[in-house]
Amino acid sequence: MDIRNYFSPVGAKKKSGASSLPKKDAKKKNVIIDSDEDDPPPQVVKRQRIEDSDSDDDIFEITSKKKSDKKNEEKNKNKSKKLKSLPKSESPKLKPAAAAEFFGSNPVSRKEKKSSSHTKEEVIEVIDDGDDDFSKTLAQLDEEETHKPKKPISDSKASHNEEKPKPNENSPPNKIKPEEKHSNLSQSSKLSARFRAFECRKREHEEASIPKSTKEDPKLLHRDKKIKLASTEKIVESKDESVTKKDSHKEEKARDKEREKKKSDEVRGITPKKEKKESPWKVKDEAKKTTENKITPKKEIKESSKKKPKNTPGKKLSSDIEIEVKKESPKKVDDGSNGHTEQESTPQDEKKNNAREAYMKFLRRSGPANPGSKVIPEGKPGCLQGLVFVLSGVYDSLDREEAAELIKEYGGRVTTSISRNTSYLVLGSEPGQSKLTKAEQLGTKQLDEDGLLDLIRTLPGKESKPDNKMDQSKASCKLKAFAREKKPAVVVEESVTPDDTQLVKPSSAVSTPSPKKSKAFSQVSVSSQGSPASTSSASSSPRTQSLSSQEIATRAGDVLMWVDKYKPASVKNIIGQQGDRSNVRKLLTWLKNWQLNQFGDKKPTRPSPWAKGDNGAFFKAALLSGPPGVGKTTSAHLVCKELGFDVVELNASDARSKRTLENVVSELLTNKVLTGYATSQGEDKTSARHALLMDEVDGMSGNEDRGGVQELIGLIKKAKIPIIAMCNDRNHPKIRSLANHCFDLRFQKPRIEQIRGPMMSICFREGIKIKPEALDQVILGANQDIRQILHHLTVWSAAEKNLQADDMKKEAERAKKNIKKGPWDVCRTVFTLSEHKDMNIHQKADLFFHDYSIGPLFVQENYPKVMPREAGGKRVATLELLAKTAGSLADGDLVEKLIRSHNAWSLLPTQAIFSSVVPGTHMSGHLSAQIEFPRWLGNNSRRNKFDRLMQELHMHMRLNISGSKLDVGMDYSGPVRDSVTRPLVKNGMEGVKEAVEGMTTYDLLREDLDALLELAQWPGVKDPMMNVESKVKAAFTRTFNKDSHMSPFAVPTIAKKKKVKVGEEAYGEEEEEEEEEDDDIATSGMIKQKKGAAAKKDVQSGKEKGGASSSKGKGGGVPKGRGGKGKK
Amino acid sequence: MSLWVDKHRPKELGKLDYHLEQAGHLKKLVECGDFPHLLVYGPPGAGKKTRIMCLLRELYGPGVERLRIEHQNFQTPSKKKLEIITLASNYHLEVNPSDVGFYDRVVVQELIKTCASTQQLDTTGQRHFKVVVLTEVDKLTKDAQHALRRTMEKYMATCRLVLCANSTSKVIPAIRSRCLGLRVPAPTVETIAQILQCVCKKEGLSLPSELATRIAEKSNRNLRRAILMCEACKVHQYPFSSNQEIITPDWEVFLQDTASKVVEEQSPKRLLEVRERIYELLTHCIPPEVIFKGLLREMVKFCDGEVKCEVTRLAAYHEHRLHLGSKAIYHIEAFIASFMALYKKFLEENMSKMF
Repeated sequence: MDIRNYFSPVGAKKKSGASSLPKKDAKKKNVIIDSDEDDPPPQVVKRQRIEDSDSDDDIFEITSKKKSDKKNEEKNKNKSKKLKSLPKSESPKLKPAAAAEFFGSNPVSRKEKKSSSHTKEEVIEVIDDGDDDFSKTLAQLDEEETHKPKKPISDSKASHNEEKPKPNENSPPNKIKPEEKHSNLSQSSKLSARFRAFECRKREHEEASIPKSTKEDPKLLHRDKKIKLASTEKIVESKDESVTKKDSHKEEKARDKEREKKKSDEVRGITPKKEKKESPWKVKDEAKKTTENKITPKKEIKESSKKKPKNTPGKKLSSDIEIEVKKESPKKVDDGSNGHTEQESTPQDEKKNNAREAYMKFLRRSGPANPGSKVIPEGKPGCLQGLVFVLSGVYDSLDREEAAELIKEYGGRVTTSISRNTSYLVLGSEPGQSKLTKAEQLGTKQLDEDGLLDLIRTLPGKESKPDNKMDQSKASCKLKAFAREKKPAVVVEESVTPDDTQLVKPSSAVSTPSPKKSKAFSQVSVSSQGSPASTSSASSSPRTQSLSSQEIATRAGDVLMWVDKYKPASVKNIIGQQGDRSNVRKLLTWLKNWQLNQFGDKKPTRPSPWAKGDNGAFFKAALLSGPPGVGKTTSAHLVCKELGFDVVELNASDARSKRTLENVVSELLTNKVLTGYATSQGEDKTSARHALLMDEVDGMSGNEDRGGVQELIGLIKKAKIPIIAMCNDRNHPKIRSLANHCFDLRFQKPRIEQIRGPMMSICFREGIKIKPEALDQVILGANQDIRQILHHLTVWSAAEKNLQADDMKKEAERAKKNIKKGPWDVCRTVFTLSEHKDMNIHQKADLFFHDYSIGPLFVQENYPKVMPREAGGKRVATLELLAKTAGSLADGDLVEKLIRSHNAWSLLPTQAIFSSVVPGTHMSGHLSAQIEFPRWLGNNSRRNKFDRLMQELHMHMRLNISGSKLDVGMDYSGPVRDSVTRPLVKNGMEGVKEAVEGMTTYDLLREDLDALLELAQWPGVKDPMMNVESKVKAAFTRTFNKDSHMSPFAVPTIAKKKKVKVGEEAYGEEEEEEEEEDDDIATSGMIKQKKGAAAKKDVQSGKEKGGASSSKGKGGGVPKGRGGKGKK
Repeated sequence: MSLWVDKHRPKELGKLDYHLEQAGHLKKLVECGDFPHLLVYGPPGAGKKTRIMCLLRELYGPGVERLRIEHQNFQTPSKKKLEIITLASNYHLEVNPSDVGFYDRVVVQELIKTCASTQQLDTTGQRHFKVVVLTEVDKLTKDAQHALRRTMEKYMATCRLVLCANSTSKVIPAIRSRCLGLRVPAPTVETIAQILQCVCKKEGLSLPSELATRIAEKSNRNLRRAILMCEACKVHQYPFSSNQEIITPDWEVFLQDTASKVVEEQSPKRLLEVRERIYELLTHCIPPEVIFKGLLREMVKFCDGEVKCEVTRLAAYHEHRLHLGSKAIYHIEAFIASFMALYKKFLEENMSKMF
C-alpha cells in the first residue's frame, strides 16, 4: 500500500472543497496567512520568527526524517523494530514531542472541519497503529531538537506524556489538553499558517484545472467567508488613509489571534502525512510561487499550460516519499560514525594543551590518502538542498575543497563551524577536536566520506519530478532557495516597516486585480530584493518599483542593455554602497554640506592625510577612484540626482583642454535647467545648483587635453560649485597631483555576496535559470566587475536560459584569463597548494608569463619560505626539495642566459618550466612568511656600484699597482684604507700628514677614500673611520684639499669644480690647476708628476687655461720630447 | 710611502726572484729582436704583470715606465658613448677592454685596430713594433675575441699583442694558437717565504722564518697577498713573533663564517641567512669562483670520505653551471641547498647508527 493513494484524493478533495470558493477568497486567505506570520501576538511571534530564520533548514530536515520514519512503519513495519532498538539505546528519553503533535492532532480538526476526509482517517489509523514504534523512532530523530533551546521542550514532554499512555489507540489524539494547546500555540499557529497556505495553493490549482467540482464543507465555507469578510474589510480600508489601515490591520491581527487560538486544534488535525509531505517552507514558497504566477499573467499562462495541476500533489508526494526511502542509508551511516567519533574525542584540557601541536599538524596535513579512489556518484541535482555541512579532517579520496564543491553543486551549504543549523558533520581522519566536541554537544549527525557520497547517491533531487511538472517545480525550487537566502531580510523588512508595506498598498490595489495577489507578490519582490543591495527597486516602494521594472523588462527588454535596464534607480540600490560609512554615503553628506562648508562662517581646516572618518569638508572637489564596473559614475549621478543637483558631465569623449574647461564651467555657472518650467505649474523650479562631473580624469591626456588636469586643479581652487572627479588609477602621477585637492573616496570591488543577490534578482526577472554557485563563478570570472557580469549574463543567456554551474565555470575561466596578476599574486599561486592544485601544466606555465622578467626573481626570493607539503614536515625531505628547487632555478638561469644572449625567445616556455612550474611543484605547500620583493635587484645594482667604485680606484691607483680591478677590491682595499686611517686613529691631529701622504702615494682623491671605506666595509667589522674624531677628520679633509695633488689622470669636471671652490683661499691652488691643464695641452696627455713638479708651477702659470677636452684626446700618437719633464 | 708590495716590485727581468729560467727565456727572446704575440697566464698574484713590465723594459728601456693615463672615447654602433681608460707609455698601450663590459668588441675593433695600424715614423733606436697589452683577456666576450683574431694577423708588422689572463680556458682556441703561451705559475710557499724575508730585510726588519712560512701558506700562494699580509702583520705587532696572529682580509673571514654557518645548521631559514651573506660577498665583487672555493674548503673539513667526494662534485658541477649562467647567486644557492640536504642526510644517518 502506498501512501500516495491516500494522498492524492485527499488533496483533490480539499481542493474541491475550496474550489467552489471565489478566487478572491482564497487569495484573501493568503493575506491572512501572511499576516498570521507577520503580525501575531508580539512575544510568541517573535519566538517563532527567530525560529524561522534560524532553523528553517532544521525544520525541513526534521520533517523529512519523520517522513522516513513513517515510511518505515508503513512499509517495513518489521524492520522498524530494528530501527527502534537503535534509538532506544541512544536516547533513553523519548521525546517525540512536536512531531507527535503534528501527527496526532491534525487529522481530528481536519475531520471536524471537513466531512470529506474519510480517507485521511484511514491513514491516521495506520499511523497510530505504529505509534509506539514510531514515536520511539521519532524520538531518536528529534533528539537534536531537544538540544535546541528554542524548541519548546516542555511542550514535547507534555505531548510525550500524552502520547505514551495510548500509543495503540485507534482514534487519533485529537483531544488536546488545554495546557498543551496553550503551550503549543505558537507552534501550531505557525503550522496552521503553513498548512493553510498549502491548502490555498491546492485550492488554486484546483481552480485552475477543475473549476467546478465537488461538495463544499460548510464549516470551511463559513470560515472562509469570515475571512473574506475580514479581507474585504481590509481592502475597503486599505483604500482609505493609511492610518485607518493600520488600525484595521491591528484589528485583523487581533482577530487572527483569536482565530488562531480557536484553530490551533483544528490545525493540529492536519494529516501527519501532509505535514510531512511538505516542508513548511516549501509550502509557503509554493504558495508564493503560485501567487506570483498570477501576477504576471503571461508567465502564469505559460506555466499553467505546461503543468497539469491535478497531478501536482500526488506527484510531489511520490517524490517526497522517495526522499524517505533514500534518507535511510545516511542515517545508518550516522549512527556508525557517531560511535566512531566518540571514541576518538579527547578530553578538553588535553586538547587545549595540544592546541599548538594540533595546529602544526593541521599545517602539515597531507592531502587525501587515495585521491580519486572513490567514484563520485552522480546525484540528482539539488539533492542536498537545504542541508548544511561542516567538513573536518582529511578524507580518503576527496580533497576538502572538492568535497565542498561537490556539496555546493548539489545545493548543500558548507560552513566552517558547527552551529545548530548544521545538518551533518562530515568527518575524515584527524578531525578537528573542537568541531567534534561541538557536534556532540549539539547532537549534529556525523558522516564519513562514504556517507556523504551515499547521501548524494541516494537522496532525490529537488527537481526530480515528472517532466510535465518540470518547469514549475524548478521555478519553485529556485524561488525557494531564493526565499531561504533572503529570509532574514524579508523578516526584517516586513516586521520593521509595516507602514511601508501598507503605504504602498493602495497603489498596488489599483495596479493589481486583487490585494492578495499583490500582497503575495510584494512578498516575493521584497524577498527577491530583500537584500539591501538590490539593483532596481527603490526601497521606499518596493512593489511599484519592481512592477515598473517588470514592465520595462517586458516592454523594452530588447532595446535596453541590461546594464542600463537594471541601473540602480536610487542611491540606496548601489551595490556594495549601503553602509553608513560607504563611499556613497560620504559623498552624499559631502555634497549636501558643500555650500555650508565652503561658504559658511567656519572654514574647515585641511585634514591630515591619515585622518579617519574625514567628511571631506575642506575639499571643494571629490575624487572617486576604483576599478571599472564598481559604480563610480552611477554613484556620482545618483547622489547628484538625490540632492537635486544639475549635472554637467565631461568625460573622455569631450575635449578637456584648458580652454574648453574654462568655457564649459563659465557657461555652467550661468545656465539653468528648463525642465523645471515644463514639469512644474508656473512655479520657478529652475535649480541653480550645479555639479560638475569630471569622468575618467585619468584619460586626460594627449594634445587635446593638454593642461587639463592643471586647469582642473585651478578650477577646483576657485570653484563655486562642487566638482566630482572620477578615475580608475588613483596612483597615476597626474591624478596624484589632483588628489591633493580632492576628497579622496576609494571604491573597492564589492564582495561576491553583495553582488550575488541583485544579480539573482535580475536573472530571475530575465527568466534565466542560474544556480548561485554558477553565478558565483561568473562574478569571480568577471573580477567583481558588475558591468562585466551583466554583459556576460546577457551573452550567455542569449544562447541558453538555463545556466549550469559547470558551463559557467568554464566561461568564467575564460573570462578570468584576461585578468593580469601582480608578481606577488603570481608567486603566491605558484607555491600555495590550494591555489594551484586545479591547474594543469599550461596554466602553471602561464603564471610565469604574467611577468617573466620579475616573476622568476620572486620565485627565487621566496622559495625557502614555503613549507612544502610533500616533505610532510621532515627536515631532510624539506632540504632535499629545497635543493631540487634551487637546482631547477639554476637551470632556469641557464635558460635565461641563453635567451638573453642569443635572443632565443622561443625558449621562454622552457624557462617557465624551470623557473616557475618545477619550483612550484616541488615546493607546493603554503607560504609561511610574507612574500618579499626580490632582493636580487637591489643587490645587483649595489654590486654594480661597487664595481664602478673599484674600477675608479683601480684607475687612480693604476700607476702604482700591478693588480687588476678585482685585486683592488680583494687585496688592496683593506691595506690602503688602513694606511690612511691608521695614522688618524693612532695619532689624531699628528697623523693627518701621514694620512694625506698615504692618499697621495696612490693618487687617491677624497672621494676615493669614501669609496675605499665602503668597499672595505664588511658586516660585523667596525668601520675604522668611526674611531676618528670628527675634528681630526675635518683637519684631514682640510689638509688634503689645501695640498696640491698632481693626479696622473683627468679628474672629472665636477670634482674639479668642487676642488676649486673649497680651495679658493689658497691663491696658488688656482694656478696649480691651470698649470696642470697647461701640461695637458703641452704633452697631449698627462705625465705623472711627483712633488718635485711644484717647482715649475710659477714658470708656467702665465699660460692660458686650456680646454679639459685635450686631456681626453686620443693619445695613441707618438709623444714628443717633453715626456721627460714630469719624470720622477 | 707605498705599500711594500709596490715598493719592492722588481723592474727588470734580471731582478725577478723566481721562475728564473723563464725570465732567461724571455730575455733571450728580446735579444733576438722580435717575438710573437704572447699570452701570459697564471693565477692572480703570481707576477704576470710584473713580468710583462719587465719584458717591456727589456724591450724599450726605462722609457716604458713613464706611464700616462688616458681616456678614450668611442661610440658604439647603437650611438652609445663609451669611455675607456688606457695606460700608455711612448712604446706601449695597456688596456682592459672588459672595463666596458658588454661593449668590449667595440674597444677591440676601434682602439686596438687604430693603434696597431699606425706605423712608427721614427724607428731609429726603437723597435719597429709597439706592444698592446690587453689585460683580463679571459673576461672578454667571445665576440671581442673573434674581433681580435684578424687584427692579430693583419698588423703583425707593426704591433705585438701581449694578452694577460688568469686562465686560458676562456680564451678561444683561435687566439691561443696565434700566441706564444707563457704560463706564470704561482710561486711555491718556500719561494714566497724567501721573498718575504727579503722584503723585510730591505725594510730593515727581521722576519722569523716560521711566520714567513705561515703567511705564505695563508696567502694561498698569492705573492701580492702574502706581502700585503706581511705588512699588515708588521703594523699589528712588531717585532714579529713566530706565532703571532696573521691578519686575513675581511672578506675571507666573512666567507669562512658563511661556510661554517652552513655547516652549523641546515634549514630553510639558515639558507635565507646564508643567502644574505652570499649577496654581501657578491656585491663586494668577490668572484663567485672564489666564493665556491672558500665554501668548499670549509665544508669539506666537516665531511667524511664519501661525502667529501660528493660535496666536491656538487661544487664543481654548480661552478661549471655558474659560468654558463648569468646570476651567480642562483648557482651558489643551489650548491648550498644541495650541500645542506646531503649533509643533513649524512648527519641523520650517522646519528641513527650511533643510537
